[in-house]
Amino acid sequence: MRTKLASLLAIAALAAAACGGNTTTPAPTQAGGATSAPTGAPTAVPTSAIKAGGTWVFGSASDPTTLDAILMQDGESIRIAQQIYETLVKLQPGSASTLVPGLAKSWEATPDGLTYTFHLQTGVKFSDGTAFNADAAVANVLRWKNLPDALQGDDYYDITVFGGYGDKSLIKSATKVDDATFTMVLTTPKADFLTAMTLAPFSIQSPTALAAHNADKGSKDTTNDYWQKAPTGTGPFMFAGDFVPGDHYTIVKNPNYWDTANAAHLDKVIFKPIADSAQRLTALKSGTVDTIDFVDANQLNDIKSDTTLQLITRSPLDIGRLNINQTVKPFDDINVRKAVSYAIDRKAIIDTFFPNGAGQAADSDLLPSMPAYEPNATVTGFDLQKAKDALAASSCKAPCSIDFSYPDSVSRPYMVDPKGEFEAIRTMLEAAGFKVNPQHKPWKGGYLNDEANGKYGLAFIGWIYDYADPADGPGIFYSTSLAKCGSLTPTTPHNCEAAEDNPAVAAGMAKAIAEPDTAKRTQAWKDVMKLINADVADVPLVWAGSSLGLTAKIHGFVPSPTQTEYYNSVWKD
Amino acid sequence: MAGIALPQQLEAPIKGTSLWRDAARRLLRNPAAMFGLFLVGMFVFVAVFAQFISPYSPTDGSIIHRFLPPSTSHLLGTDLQGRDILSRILWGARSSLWVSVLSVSIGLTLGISFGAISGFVGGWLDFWMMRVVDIILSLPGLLLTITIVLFLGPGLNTIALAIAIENVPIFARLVRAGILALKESDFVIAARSIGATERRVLLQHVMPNALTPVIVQGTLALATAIVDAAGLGYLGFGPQDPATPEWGTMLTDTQRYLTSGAAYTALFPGIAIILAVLGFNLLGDGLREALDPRLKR
Amino acid sequence: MPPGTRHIFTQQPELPPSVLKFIVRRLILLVPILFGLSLFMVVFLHLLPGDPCGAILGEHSTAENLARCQHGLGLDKPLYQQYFEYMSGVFHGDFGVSATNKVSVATSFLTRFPATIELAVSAMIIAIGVGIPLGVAAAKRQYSLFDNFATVASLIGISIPIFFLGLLLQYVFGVWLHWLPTAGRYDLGAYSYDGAGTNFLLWESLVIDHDPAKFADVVRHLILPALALGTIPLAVVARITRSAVIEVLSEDYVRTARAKGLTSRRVDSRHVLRNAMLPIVTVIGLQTGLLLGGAVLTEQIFSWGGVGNWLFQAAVDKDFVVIQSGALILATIFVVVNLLVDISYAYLNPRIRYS
Repeated sequence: MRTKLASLLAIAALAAAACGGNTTTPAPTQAGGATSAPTGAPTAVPTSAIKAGGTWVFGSASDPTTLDAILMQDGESIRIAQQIYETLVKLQPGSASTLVPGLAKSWEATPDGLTYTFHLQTGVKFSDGTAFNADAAVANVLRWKNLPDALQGDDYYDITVFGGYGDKSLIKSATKVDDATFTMVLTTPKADFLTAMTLAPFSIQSPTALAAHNADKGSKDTTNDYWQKAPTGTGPFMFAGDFVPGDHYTIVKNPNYWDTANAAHLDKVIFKPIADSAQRLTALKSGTVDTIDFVDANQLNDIKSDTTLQLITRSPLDIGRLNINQTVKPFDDINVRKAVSYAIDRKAIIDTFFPNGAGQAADSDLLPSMPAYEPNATVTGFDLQKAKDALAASSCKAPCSIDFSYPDSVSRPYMVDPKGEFEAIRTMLEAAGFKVNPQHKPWKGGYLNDEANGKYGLAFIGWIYDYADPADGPGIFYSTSLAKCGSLTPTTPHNCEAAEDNPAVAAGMAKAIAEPDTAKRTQAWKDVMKLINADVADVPLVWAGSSLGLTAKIHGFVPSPTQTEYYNSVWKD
Repeated sequence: MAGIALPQQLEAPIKGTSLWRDAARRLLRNPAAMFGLFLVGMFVFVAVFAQFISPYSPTDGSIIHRFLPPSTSHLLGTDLQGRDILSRILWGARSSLWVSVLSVSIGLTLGISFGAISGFVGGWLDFWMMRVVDIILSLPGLLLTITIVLFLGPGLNTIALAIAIENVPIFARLVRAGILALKESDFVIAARSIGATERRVLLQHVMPNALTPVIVQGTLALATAIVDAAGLGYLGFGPQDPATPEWGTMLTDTQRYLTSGAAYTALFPGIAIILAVLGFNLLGDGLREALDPRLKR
Repeated sequence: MPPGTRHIFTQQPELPPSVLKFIVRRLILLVPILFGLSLFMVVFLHLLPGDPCGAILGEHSTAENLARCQHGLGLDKPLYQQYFEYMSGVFHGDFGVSATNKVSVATSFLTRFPATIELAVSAMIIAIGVGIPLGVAAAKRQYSLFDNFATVASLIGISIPIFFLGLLLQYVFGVWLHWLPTAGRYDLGAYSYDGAGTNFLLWESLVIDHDPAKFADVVRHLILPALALGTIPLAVVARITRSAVIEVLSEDYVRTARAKGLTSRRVDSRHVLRNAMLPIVTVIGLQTGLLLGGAVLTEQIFSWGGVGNWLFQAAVDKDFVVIQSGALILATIFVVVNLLVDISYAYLNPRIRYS
């Protein structure tokens, strides 16, 4: 994962520079969502119009699964964590890359990129009254480094960003300088380190609460009730004990929030889990909830046409794609891969499944907003004749029988209706001379496991970027298989999905990751993407943004492509 | 309960024909049951002759022609994939019939064998076999079905098998109860006393009389199987090949497109399910009354 | 499965001579049942494809991450060892911890089961309150237009797939008419309930909080799911009532009572219903037992935080521990409810005495 692709940030830095921000000179945060956001963001309102108080009922997709920040992996947990916790460094609301101060008001790095000094905000207290200071920050950082044995395996971001625990961690040490200053030393430079520090799993939690609730005991130990009873941070909201699993999770305004200029307007936010997207829309329309996330693309117009509702769409930062495992016959033949890619009419897919601007036809795993984006020059779009020709030139003559897999029981922004999309694409492939054997399994009930272990030749899958960087996407899909897939003790980061074994790609990616210079690194990634495109290593389908539906009473919501959204700016009529 | 009405069956014990003839007469006089029979007949007819009466292939279409409203060329409109809904409903009858008949056949075969062995052998074998039945019955039904489908993978056959396994204990209990009651009854003792073998007593005398409630339950189980299959479709467990028309899946696939002006695409399969299930329920109800004179309908 | 036709034909249990002996025997039988069930569940669940790690990791499922997660959850241990560890926990009253959200199964069950009970009881109240009068009325006017209408209506009730009915109710009363809420147990924006109490919201709002408005709100949230869930039991109760009453009406003692000049109403209440109660109570008991197992579809459609919803999610997520323990607990409850039904025979059927 990102460990292997040890350093990046270049892209983020570049984007930040383009936005006029600066990664090392923090800009002050602004109140009330006054920053401009990519699309659909509410325009800034005069502060006098803001109404304080009220309860916001948010229709989420599921309960949080943990709120011990460092163990979080899923969006619904992170959604809540972003309100009750704070990170040392934050993303500017609405931006995918601009860094602003969080619990650290400023920071500097040594030129070798190994030592970071953080200057902390003063007068900050956790919601349990514990003081936030260098001791608390160091305790948190050392917990990431020395994650207790019993918790190892529950985390994702910790191992992904820091590569290991204890001596194997990228964190060499964390040391208090004075009450408001501490330093972190890394074992090797990591250019995306500061960006990674904005991720919610690296939130600072109250060491007192962690200890009092046995957070370091394993998750199977029932004395560990930290996240259910007392997740404690410094954020504008806090947990006050109101969690009924399956029914709701409530956070309330933190009355003692340190950053008074950015204190929450709302008294309370209630997260109501509604698993099904159609049911979420029903709940919004019948007034059961004020806001829903992940509106089905086909229902966007439903919200647009309703004057009591408003629609907010996030800029896309994901890729819906067909993964190809090149070791599975007949996909070892590039002409078969070409035929698949040519046969798919992406525009028809977009019109049907991602209408109303919900998605754009993709020709690369990278988005055009990323500097390293390289359009596909090998397969230039839908062309039925070329698909037939490619198949005729291949080792698998029409009717070429292929297995094609899609997941059941799931809807993701980049894959709203997997079965519907599968059937549509199947028709297109059969028109080009393929004979498609459908394969499907529940998303969580085996599909993800099988897909990850390379069991599918052609399969629906997608990726949501944590931040805009090729290493956090193609860098994962196409990394070389170094360990036996499915083995329980892999020693090296590896990937079995694509089995892209082109040595030039592997060398190019290694070079891109090691390259310290921003412009050169971008160019190196462009070269890699050209090779990947030429190999037709996968079939990109769609870049899709996700959307929220809100009642007209809700204001001040600032959408973010990475879903890094802070609710302190939200208010309700 | 109402289904086991033993004394009346004893009126015509050894030769069963008059019992059946009586039942048939009562059934024919019951208009509700006849309407049920009509619905079931329609359902079976459509399922068998789908390829002759459906105007289009159920699998041909393109998303370019999605959600066409009902018209003369597509009487019930088209679905998401541009396929003719009428044709898919007609073909869907085949899937539903297959699932229901297969599941009830499997359930009956296993259940009757299980119940017959248990009831006839008795003793400790009976005791432990009934504990197995208890285990299956004590599990929440739909959850058991779902886990079996997850285990065996998607497909109409696995759905049928999962539903069948849920039915086995019910049939087994019915058969066993019937056998226990009949085993010591006068006419069986009489048959034994004239030298009939155990096997002959079981097959010729005990089973037919113990089967009456099973026949009724079997008819009702056909209805339940259609509803269960539809419910599984709603939860995302449909046929292996998504192009295979199946009513429950058709109904739920379009749920997310209801507000995009495709409401009728969900309504028609829903009505089809209700009519087919109603048919089996009316028929089963009529059969029960016909086979159980005490109910006097 | 829709809990409709499943138990209509189950036989009456054989009743032993003494109630106490009977109860003890049944409770002892519970032990092999639960033991067999646990063994069956553990083996069967581990044969299923996938594991909780897919649910935990989502898109981040790569071979490496999956292996780490499996090791963390102990899924790489031999099956007998996993079973032994699980069962020794159960014997110590520890039903384990969910793999996906790390909440203990006992805690989840205790917060969710009241929601299921409230929904099941409401559905049964609708079923009994409408079903019995409907069945009695139909029986008294046997073969009348009303009787035929009631018979067909109840059969249609059994024939509608529960999710179809639920969705229809939602669209009509929630989205079109805006009369009733479509998700959850109460108005989250207007009231608060933090799960610290019993989680029986009807009780909490009326008896603990003395808040009639909140109580009314809870009732409003119950209406649609209870209607959807109650339709099948309603039809079953109506049908069984009808046939039981018809049977009793033809008995000699009813004719005698009528002949003695008792009013029809008096005969109804004193003789007919009381004697017809046996099969009706049986059906009510069995239906309640089935509903307590969690109404997966109804709870799913109405986002009801009950056990059905919970176990379904656990099945989809392959959350082994939750399914195993949940099934064990529900099976115990199911058996106990059936036991209660059997005991109630003693009070309803004058011909059966336990001593």
